[in-house]
Amino acid sequence: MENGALKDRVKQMIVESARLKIPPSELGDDALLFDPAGVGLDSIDVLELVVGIERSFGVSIQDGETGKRVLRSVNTICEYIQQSGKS
Amino acid sequence: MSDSLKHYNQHFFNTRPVYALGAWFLDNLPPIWGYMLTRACAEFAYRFSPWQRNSLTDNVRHVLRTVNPDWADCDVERRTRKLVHRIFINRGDWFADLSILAGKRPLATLMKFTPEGDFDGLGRHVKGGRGAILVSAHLGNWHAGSVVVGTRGVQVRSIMYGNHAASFMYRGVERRAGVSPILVGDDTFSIVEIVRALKGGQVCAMLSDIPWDSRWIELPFFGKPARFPLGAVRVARLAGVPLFPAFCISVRPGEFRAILRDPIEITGPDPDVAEREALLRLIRVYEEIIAKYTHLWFNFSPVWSWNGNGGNGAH
Repeated sequence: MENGALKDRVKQMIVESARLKIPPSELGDDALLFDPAGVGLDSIDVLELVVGIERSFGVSIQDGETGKRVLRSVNTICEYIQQSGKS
Repeated sequence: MSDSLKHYNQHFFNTRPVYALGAWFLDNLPPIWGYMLTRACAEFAYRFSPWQRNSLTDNVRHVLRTVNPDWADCDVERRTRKLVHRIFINRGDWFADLSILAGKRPLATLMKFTPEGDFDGLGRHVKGGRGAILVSAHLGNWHAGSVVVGTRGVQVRSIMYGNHAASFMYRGVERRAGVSPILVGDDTFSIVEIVRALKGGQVCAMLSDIPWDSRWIELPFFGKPARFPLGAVRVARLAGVPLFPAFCISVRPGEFRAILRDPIEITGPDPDVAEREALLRLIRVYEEIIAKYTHLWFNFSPVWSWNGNGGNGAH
């Protein structure tokens, strides 16, 4: 999948899973998802995103450390999906 | 953890040195002396903990009024005062029981457990490869409950706040029962491990009656709106596992009744409705158990009179 299209799908998934009240296009590629100064998601959103990524892209996040690294931003999620070869 | 509710968890006894010293004494004293010591401490706590005593009084008064609508106000007040004092004393016994469970003395001679409910059904459910959440309230000795399930051959992961003053005792209990903890709290991402455990067919145990977390939903509880955490039902729905309400009731020092209720599935086309209905079913079980065992309801934070702004509601 082309990088731009993957980013759009990831943004769509984040907005739907975390029920954000913004259009996906407003989510910055490098915006910190779990930083209070960024998007400000919380632990329940971690759960939604882990399940959302698994459901939408067939990629699982196996532990908290991986979660911390992967769920930083739209870009890091896209990199992880691409590395897993499922995009 | 919600800042407003945190105050109710910050008791002068609730520090690591006090717990460590208490646990050492209790593990080395004859049990009867241990119970006398913890009851004396509980009496002291009752007299010098106005925050906890007042919120517990409000909670108990509301339950007694709702369950016994024909009682006169003066009766409710008299029984509330007696019951609040008894709950503090029972909390002393709770600590002594916990120290025995966590200590080095053989459990078989000191603790007796009577199961009530379909524990074999839970075992069959787990053998079928599906995970489950054992969900309880701050009532009775929930740590003893993990011993009951763990010693019946069901592997349990207990979800707990890692920074609690008594965490070392909880770990002691869990080692005995073959229970392994998943620590949550400051680490937002520890929830990944819970999902993995449940999807891998394991059983997780958690308390789900006080909205420590940022997400809560307001639902009727003993006829009046109260806030409940969304975490357990949300995790259960997303991991595709049921909730099993479970309680461990102390009948007398060293003797427990372990209660397991029928599973609650979180299903339906609308996830929010499904979560709400499941939580309502769980709350009905809490009401029944709390009405029956009010003397063991250790919820020292205000259930109905809390107006703090620690949560951000359901979404």
